[in-house]
Amino acid sequence: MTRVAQFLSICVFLVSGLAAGAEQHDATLDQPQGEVILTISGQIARTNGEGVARFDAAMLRSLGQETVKTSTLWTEGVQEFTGTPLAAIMEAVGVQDGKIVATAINAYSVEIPLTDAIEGGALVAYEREGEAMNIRDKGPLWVIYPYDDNPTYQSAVAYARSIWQLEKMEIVPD
Amino acid sequence: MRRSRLREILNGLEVPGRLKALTATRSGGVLLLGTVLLLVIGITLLSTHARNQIDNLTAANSGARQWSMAQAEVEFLNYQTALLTGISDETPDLRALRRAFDVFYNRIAIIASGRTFELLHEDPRSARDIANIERFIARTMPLIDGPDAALRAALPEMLVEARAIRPSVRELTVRSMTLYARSYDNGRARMAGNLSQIALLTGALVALLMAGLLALTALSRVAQIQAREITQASARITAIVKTSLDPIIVVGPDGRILEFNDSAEETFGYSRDEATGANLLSLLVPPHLREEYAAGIKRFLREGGEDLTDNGRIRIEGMRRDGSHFPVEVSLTSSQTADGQILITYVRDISARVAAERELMQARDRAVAGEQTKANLLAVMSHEMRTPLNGLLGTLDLLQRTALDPLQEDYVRIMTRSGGSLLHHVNDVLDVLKIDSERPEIESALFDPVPLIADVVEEQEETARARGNTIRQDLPDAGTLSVVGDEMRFRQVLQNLLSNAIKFTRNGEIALGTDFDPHRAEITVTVTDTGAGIDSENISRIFDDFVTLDPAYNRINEGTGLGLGIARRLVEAMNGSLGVESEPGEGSVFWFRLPALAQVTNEEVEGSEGADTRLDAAPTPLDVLVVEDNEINRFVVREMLKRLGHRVTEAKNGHEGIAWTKARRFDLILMDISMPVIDGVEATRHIRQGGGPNAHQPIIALTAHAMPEDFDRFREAGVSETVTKPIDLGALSALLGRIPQGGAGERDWPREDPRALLDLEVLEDLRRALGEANFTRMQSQFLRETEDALEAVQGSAEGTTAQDYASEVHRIAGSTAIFGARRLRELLIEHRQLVLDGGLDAACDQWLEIWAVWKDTRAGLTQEAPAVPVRISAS
Repeated sequence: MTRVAQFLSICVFLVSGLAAGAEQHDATLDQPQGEVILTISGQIARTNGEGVARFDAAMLRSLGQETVKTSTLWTEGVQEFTGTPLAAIMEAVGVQDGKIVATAINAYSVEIPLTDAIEGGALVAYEREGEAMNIRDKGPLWVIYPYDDNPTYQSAVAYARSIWQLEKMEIVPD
Repeated sequence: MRRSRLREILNGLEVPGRLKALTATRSGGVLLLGTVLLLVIGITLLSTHARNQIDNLTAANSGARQWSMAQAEVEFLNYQTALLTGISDETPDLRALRRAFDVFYNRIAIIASGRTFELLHEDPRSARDIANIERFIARTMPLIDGPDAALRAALPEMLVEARAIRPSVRELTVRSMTLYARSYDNGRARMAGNLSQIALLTGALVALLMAGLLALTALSRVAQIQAREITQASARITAIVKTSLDPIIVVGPDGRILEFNDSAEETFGYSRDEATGANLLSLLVPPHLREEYAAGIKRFLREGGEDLTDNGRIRIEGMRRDGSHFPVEVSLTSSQTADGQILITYVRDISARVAAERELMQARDRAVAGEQTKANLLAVMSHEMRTPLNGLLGTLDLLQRTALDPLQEDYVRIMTRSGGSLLHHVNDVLDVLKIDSERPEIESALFDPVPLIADVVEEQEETARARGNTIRQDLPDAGTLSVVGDEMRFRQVLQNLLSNAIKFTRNGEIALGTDFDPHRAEITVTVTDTGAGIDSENISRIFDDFVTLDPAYNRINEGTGLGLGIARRLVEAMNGSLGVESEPGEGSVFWFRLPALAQVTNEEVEGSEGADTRLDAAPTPLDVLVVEDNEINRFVVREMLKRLGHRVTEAKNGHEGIAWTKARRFDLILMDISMPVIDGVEATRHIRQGGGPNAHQPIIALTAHAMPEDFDRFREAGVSETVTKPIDLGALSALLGRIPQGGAGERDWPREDPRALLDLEVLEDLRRALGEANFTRMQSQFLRETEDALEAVQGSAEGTTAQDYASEVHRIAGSTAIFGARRLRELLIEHRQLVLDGGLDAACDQWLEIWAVWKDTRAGLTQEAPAVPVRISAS
């Protein structure tokens, strides 16, 4: 009896929380004007298509631009990466919980927890050394961590999450 | 508490031994620590390396690499599939084809460029495959990047190309599996080696730590032993300090007493508890000395003891509990302890010793005073005897020259001889006194002894003959030898020895001989007699005073017994030696030895003869003032002067004498010293300082006072020369012969022999070195500066320390040496010593003499110097 009541109250709380989130933000995002380079689906609060949020390069740039200088396993020397913080993208699509399943053009896929979507965490980079990246050069989007600044990112897990040729994200429950 | 304090202090003193052990331990510890540190660093490095290797083996790299390689083939197949689909479709999805190509391109770019795949690049086959694939991509890329139409048209051909390259892609994938598997195995092997090394180092570290532990244990045992030894040593030292007969007081850096031993308690009257903690100076030093001692201690601590502990011990004054002062001798040692510098004072109560010393000194002073009294008595007596003798002999001299009948002449001759004998005795006594006083008037000159010996023999020949003796002379030729000494004294010595030989020989032979040793530069004069001889028990005292050996002889032979004593004194004063060898009944040989030189030229002999000639030259009449209160003496002198052809003016006392000197100028003033109202010294001073016509004229003092210190006093007053009364005609004539003829004018009478005053050789050397012009300039500068310096130093006596004063005097003395001012220099050195010994108060009295000598020196330098050295330099 008590347990049932508890469960119910949690459900009510969750529903009301979601409703409050919906009230705060517009239900839709702007429509992409250029070529779509990232598509986010799954448990997202804000969309601009049928259950999906699609971003062109300009939209990503408008979400906030950040630069990370770091060396990587796959490049020579310290590189300057510019992109949108993963946290900003998650906020833009109204993600509160769950996890990200990121997929690349080459069909590589990896799970990224929302704990990486924080300040000083993952960056969805679109420029390397001031140059836009293309598919032949691990573009157009490449998830980069500040490996040099934060040693916890010098791990196999983080390297695995550093997905390149990123094109899709799906937010799924934990 | 107190004991442990002492132990600490004494432990501090033992530091050297302990320090060595400590240092060894310390350096060993440092070595151990260093090695441990090195091992730890080594282990850390190896561990890090191992960790990296583990990372390399397990981390993303291997997995990601494997995946990448597998993915390369997958992505190639995707591209191939896209080609196939494109060929079969009506409207091929060229975007998908291009994407597939780009994805493959990206993959190959990663494999081809990254260091991640170094292993593949190193493998020739794989490298070839990669190169093939890259070439394929390069060929295909223009079509992919070209227009759609051309791409579409090229699709079949591209498929053919893709199929052709497929084996390379496949082989690369498969081969990479093999290569990486092998590399992984290698890595594991390296890991294993690495871990072995770590194990080895760790083992070494453990072993080393064990060794360190053992060493520490051993050291701690040594330390325990040492601690025990130190404890024992300190107990021993404590016992020594406690039982020391001398007080030992230890003082801390704040001046407070830390230690006060039993003996200190007894000496100072304070108990240990009272003394400990009290200030050393306030407790044990008389108030008026505290400041001085505090400064001394401070200096000692600062300078390490050089100053305060002269010869280790210093004599100071201490104060007992009851306030009484007593002399103590202390020696100080300082030691560095943890609390700062401490002072260890060893004290000795020397009251008894000081009292004994004082008594001894008083006894000595009394003895000296007694001697002085005796000497004074003799001096006064000689004066009292010689004054009447002067009158007696002078009058006899005159009487002899009057018309006398033969009997009267005999009487007068006897009287003269008796008077002469009496005078001789008085002179003997005076000689002894003179020689015994500190500065016997001994000249140091060169003279030919041979004529002199002959002369003495001639004098005594008659006496000898009267006793039946013959005198034999065994002498070298005249002009071959020069003795260094005082001619008059030499004569006196010889006279004494000869007359002694004559006295003790009857009907015998007396032989005089000389022996010159050119190597030792000595002449030995022997007087050999065939007389009674001296037995061995008396021979040792034969040269003592008042020795008359045989009472029987004494009745026969007149004499004071001073003759040989005088001879001894005179020879010694001339740096010679004398002695006697005798065989009772056979005779005696008396000898004396003096420094002598072989004569090289005849010039010196001629020179001295020339001087003699001048001495005897007939005098030009002089204007002489005789100042003498005694009527007889005045009469004698007047008659003698007249006989010599001079004009005489008489003054009955100093007062009258001064009046005369103001009235007109005299060529010479003969001045009696002992006069009532104004004595001769005072009168001379008046004349010199009065600036009248006689201020620079020679003044000869006539005195029965024969003590040398009186001579100095006279010279200070301005007396040119002193002549001892009684004066006979010959002496007076010789004296007058030395006076500049016919009025000396402005020229100073040389009051001292310029050779005693100035070192003419030094002057001449200087003159030659500088050249005439420079010499003159330097000399006048020297005169000016020395006069200024003398004035300054005399003036400074009021407000300076004896030390500074003495060093200034020393400096002046040094500069006077350059110009050969010998006498001034000697005097200044004496003056300096006087001040150092007796303080500044003693300085004042000597200044009159210094100024007098300075004036002589100045006169000598400006007038004598140019003339005399020319003669010297010719020799």
